[in-house]
Amino acid sequence: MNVGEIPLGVSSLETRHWRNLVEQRVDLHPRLNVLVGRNAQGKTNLLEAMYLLSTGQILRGSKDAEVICWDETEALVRGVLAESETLLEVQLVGGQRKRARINGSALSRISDLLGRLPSVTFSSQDMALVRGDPAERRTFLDTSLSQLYPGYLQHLANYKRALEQRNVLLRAAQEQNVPDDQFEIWEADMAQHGALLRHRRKQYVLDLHGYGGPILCGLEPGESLAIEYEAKDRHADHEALASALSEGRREEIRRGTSLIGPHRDDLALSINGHRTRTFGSQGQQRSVALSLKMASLKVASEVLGLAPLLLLDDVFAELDRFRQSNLLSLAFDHAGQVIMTCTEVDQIAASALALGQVFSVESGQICRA
Amino acid sequence: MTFTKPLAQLIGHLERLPGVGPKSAQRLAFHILRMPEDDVRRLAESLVAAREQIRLCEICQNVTAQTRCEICSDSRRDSTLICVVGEPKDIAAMERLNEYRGLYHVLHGLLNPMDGVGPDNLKIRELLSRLSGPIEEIIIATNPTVEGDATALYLGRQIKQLGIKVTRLAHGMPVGGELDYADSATLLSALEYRREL
Ligand SMILES: [Zn+2]
Repeated sequence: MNVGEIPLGVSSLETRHWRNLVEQRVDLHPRLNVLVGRNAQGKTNLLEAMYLLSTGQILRGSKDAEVICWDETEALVRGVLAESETLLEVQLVGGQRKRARINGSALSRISDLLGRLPSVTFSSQDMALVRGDPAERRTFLDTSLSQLYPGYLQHLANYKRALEQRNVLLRAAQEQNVPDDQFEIWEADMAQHGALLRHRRKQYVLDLHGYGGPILCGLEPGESLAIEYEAKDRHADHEALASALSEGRREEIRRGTSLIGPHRDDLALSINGHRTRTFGSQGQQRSVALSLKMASLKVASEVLGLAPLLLLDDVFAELDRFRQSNLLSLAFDHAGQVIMTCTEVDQIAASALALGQVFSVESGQICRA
Repeated sequence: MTFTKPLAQLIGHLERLPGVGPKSAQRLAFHILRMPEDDVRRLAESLVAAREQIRLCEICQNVTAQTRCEICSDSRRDSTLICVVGEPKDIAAMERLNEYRGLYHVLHGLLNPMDGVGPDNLKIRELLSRLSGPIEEIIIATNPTVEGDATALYLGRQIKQLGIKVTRLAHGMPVGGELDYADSATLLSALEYRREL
């Protein structure tokens, strides 16, 4: 952590009817928290509760209703921020929208939580960043940027909405004549918000490459990671995007979908000039995903001037001691509070454990070990 | 479970109303059966009366019981000023201010291809036909959503072509609100549409 950076974290966390954490209250260590337990005992559920407070979202793969304890109608996660003692609460009621409160005042949108407790997560699901579709990498960029610039989310939502409306018109135009001015009103919004999304993403990826290139978690000596933004068309500013949308319309009507704009862009990851998606061992791919996440941690701390929360789910079992200590020192350099899970406590060096607090997690009960 | 025919018919009609599912349609139907007969008759009569008597104002397309609504018939209102809104309820909101002295125009919706709403489904032709008389300004007061913005842009272009001044309601910070509690979307638009002091 750099001098002057405010370490972010939660001093005490409470859950009610949140997955198998029926009624839990934990005082967390300001720097390192290690949750030890066998699978399906609840350690990842605690990590997810922290993620919920940070983003207002549920880690992917789950619907709102699935996180509420069986036979209960609502779940609550509540945390006190370590520095400011701000009370953050997220409440889930079956079939309704999630609701958030800050110091007891209700927020009009759940997304207004963003920016209070920025976080970076890493779990085995993040392998999809390397192996998965471009959509996985766009989601990574979008969620990272929403945490740095909460207004980004609004631009993204408006862009997607205008894009959907235009796509409906493109398909309608295959059957009947749709006047140009009906397209233009949606293209105006797409160009305005789209140019902004691209600008933010490009700058962010430059930062990832600049700060993150040197962060090579687990790569071999002589291997260098390149992180580049890959725009599928060259129209960067508002006017260029607007005229490209208008010029491309005829072809897009034929294809029935919008072919120009940031919704098609990708993040190019390569080691020594080879794309990692198709090239590289599983170990290398994991290293690339981890490097990318640690780079995003470093960029977030630089941009925000804060040391973000770091959530690591079952990462250590796959790393040797050297890579573990490398990862831990990166975490201590750039993160505020760190919360990690593992199945066996001896997966982690005793010298590291001495810096924080170990918890055992069994059948939804969390205890200091 | 099958109900006797008159009851099944009642449930069927209630179910077609927006926001009424099969369960609440049943609940409403049984409630109506338990109501005093006079009350039921008055409810039925008011439904028919409303449907028969309420129409759209021939000028502004607001709902009214006359050919022309009260606002359009009021000679003290400034007929060179037209405020364009999406829904009749938006007029009520503006009127509560007791500041605006011009006339209105109700579009009855916003452009929304996903819901199958194009320019021909809105009262746009009726608006354009009002612009042949003396007009100082058209104020577009559609919601600050993607659809509201697109509709405003569409109307704005057509009206400007006629050489008429068009404005759009500003969006930004709620007056008296605290910066710390403003939602990001509002704060962002307030920043984008900031003005010089
Ligand atoms: Zn009228």
